Amino acid sequence: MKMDYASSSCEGRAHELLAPLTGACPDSVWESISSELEERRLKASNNWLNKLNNTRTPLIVAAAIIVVTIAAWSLFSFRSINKSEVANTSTPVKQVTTLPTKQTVSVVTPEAKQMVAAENSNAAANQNTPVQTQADNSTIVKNERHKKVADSIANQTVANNTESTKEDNSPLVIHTNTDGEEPLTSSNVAGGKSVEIKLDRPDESGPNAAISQPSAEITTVADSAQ
Amino acid sequence: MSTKELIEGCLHNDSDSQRSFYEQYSSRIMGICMRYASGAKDTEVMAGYVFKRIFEELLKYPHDADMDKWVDERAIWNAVAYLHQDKHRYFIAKTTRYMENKNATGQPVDEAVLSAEDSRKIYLAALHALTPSYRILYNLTYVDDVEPEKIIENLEIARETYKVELEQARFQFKQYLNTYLYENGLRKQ
Repeated sequence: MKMDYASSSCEGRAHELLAPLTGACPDSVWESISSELEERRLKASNNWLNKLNNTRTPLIVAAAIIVVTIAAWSLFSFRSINKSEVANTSTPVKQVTTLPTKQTVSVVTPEAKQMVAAENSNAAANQNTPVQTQADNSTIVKNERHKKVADSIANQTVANNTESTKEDNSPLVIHTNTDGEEPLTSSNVAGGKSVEIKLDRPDESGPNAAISQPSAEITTVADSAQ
Repeated sequence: MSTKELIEGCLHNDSDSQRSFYEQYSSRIMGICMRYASGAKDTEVMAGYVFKRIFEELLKYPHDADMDKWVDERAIWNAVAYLHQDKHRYFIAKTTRYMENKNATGQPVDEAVLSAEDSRKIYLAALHALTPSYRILYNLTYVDDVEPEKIIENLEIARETYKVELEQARFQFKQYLNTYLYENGLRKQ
């Protein structure tokens, strides 16, 4: 049978002949493969995963892990102890620093007045009345200073008033007779001198102008008793 | 040694297991490489490449699959990968030299005269004469009976391209087969 394969189907025949094709492998193929496999084996032996297959390496790794965990545990526990100590020592200091500020703030308005008033009342119980008036004036000045720091003029006027009351109160101890005919004299008990006030001269400038007579004259005379 | 023990030994780089695996599958793999390669020298190099790749791919071996079929399939696709590596040879011009071979078809030969071994040699020579891309398509489609969808997917080509190139490969194979049969008939006469 003569066949022209250009015009016929030969694929079935090709499959029949070529599919079961086998061949003998020459030794050169195995040599190339074995050299490649040997290199791969050496690489694998150097790999760290294969080192785990040894008996010593797992022990070394386990010991290293244990040491690291103990060190980490001790480090963190030491840090936690330090932190707790710092917290215990630092909290009272904060309270000490914060409490005075709170007290000053709270004392400013109502409690300061109450405390000052209580102190004044205690002082008044122990001291005389002029001192009491002086203390009352000073407390007023202090309160006004606390409320109005910049207003120094008002404080000065109040202080001058207290001084004037002092000056005015001391000479106004006037001894008069029961008849009222004798001239007014102010006696200084310590100095043993008496002051005679003549009301002939008008005195309009002082604050006691309403009290003194326009014709009064003040003369210093020797005490009759001495 | 069972197949499982053989694979386990190869995965642990046991040289005896690798040697026995090579001896067990070398003839099959060599036959596949003889079809896909373009000559005897190229067949040896390709067989070495295919074996190395199969030793690497033993990790992916599905244990429920048939070992012979799995080795054949991996050998085929690794042979294709080997041909794809040599881009210079793979992209040889695909023009069929029909006019040059026309004179050789003048005197067809009777195939019945030839023995099976001679016919196999003629078919194999015609297959080696194909360009690598045509050889791949002809082998995969007609010799190894791989499904066209799988060929299209693995070679990443369009369906129309596959059809056109397969038809050209088939035509070219017939031309080479006629030529070699004519030459063989001349020797017989």
